[in-house]
Amino acid sequence: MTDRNSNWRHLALALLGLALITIAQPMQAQTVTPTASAAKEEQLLSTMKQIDGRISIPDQKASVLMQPAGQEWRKVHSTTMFWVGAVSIIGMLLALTLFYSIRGRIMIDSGPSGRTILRFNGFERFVHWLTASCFIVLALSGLNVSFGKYLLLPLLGAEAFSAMSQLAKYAHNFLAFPFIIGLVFMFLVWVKDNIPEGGDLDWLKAGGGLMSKGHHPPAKKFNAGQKVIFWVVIGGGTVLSITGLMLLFPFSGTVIADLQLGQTIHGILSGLIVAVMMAHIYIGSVGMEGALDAMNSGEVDLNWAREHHSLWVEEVEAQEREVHDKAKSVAAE
Amino acid sequence: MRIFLLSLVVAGTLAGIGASVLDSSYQKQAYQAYSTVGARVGDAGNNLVGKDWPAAKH
Repeated sequence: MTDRNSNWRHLALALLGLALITIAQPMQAQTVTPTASAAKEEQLLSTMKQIDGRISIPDQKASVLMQPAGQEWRKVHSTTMFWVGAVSIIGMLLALTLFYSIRGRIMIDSGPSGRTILRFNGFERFVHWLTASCFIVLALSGLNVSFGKYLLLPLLGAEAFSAMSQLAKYAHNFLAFPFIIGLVFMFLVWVKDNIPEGGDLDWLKAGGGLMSKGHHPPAKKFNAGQKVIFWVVIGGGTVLSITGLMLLFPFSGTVIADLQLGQTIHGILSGLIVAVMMAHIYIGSVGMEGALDAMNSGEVDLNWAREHHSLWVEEVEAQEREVHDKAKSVAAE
Repeated sequence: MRIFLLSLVVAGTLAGIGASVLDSSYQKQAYQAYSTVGARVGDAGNNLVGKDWPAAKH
C-alpha cells in the first residue's frame, strides 16, 4: 500500500512537472523586448534628413543629434581630398625634378646684356607679393589640416603640434582678408594683359620653347603659360575666397550641407592650385635665369625680355620712340 | 626687397584689422554662445571658470 501511494505521488509530481514545463514554454516565447517596436536608426534617417531634438541653449545648431551626410563628408575629407592633394603636390614635385634634370636651368641664350627694361612697377610688385606671401601661409596652414597629423605630429609631438596648428589656423583665417584684397587688385592691374589671343595658341604649340635651347616663341607682356597661371589664380582664388568666407562665417545664410560642399571644394581645389603654383614658383626663381628680377627689382635684362617677351619689348620700344619723337617735335617748334 | 617687406607688413596689418573687427563684432564668448542668462551661475569673470578658460586651468 505504501509502495502504491509512493508510485502515485511520483506520477503526480511528474505530471505537475510536465504541466509546468508546458506552461513555461509559451511564457518564455512571450518575453517582452522593449526596443523591438522602437524605430531603428535607418528608419529615422530614411524619413528625416537629420535627427534633432529641442534644446534651451542659445546655439540652436546644437539640437542636431545626427546628420548622415556628415559621414559622407568625412569620407571625402579623409580619402578623396587627402589623395587629390597628395598626388597633385607630389606629382608636381616629381615633374619639376624631372624637368630640371633634363633641361637644367633655362639660361639667357644670348647672355645678359647689362641693359635693363622696366617690367613691373612698384605697385604691381606690391600687389604680387601681398597676394603671394598670403598664399604661401594659407597653403602651408591649409596643408597642415590635411597632412599635418601624419607628417608633423610624429616630428613635433602633440603639445608643439597643437600649438603650431592653433597659430596656423588663426593665420589661415585672418590672412584670408589681405589675400582677397590682393586678388582683386591683381585682377584690376593685369587683366588687360591676360586676355587670351590667337598668338597664345602658337606659344602653346611650341611648348613655350621650354624644352629647346635657342627657340623662343613670340609673346607679349604675358605669354600663354603666364595667362594660364593668371586665370588659375583669379578663378581658383575667387572660388577659394567664396568657399573660405562660407567657412569663416558658418551658418550665415548657409546650412550644414552648404558648408560641407564648400569645404570639399575648398580642400580639393586648393590642393590643385598649390601644385600649379609650385610650377610658377619654380620657373620664376631657380628654373629660369633672370626671371626673379621681374618681381625683385622690377627691371629685367633686355636680352631676357627679347627672348621671352619679344612682342612686349617691341611695344615698349615703339612707345618710347613715339614719346621721344613727340618731345623732339615739340622742341623743334 | 623694400616692396616685398612692405607687402608683408601690409598683409599682417590687414590680417590684424580683420581679426580685431571679427573678435569685437562677430565672435562670442563660449558662455554667451552656449548658455542663456538663466543658466549662468554668475557673470563671466565672477563665476568659477571666468572669461579666460585656458588661464583658469593653471
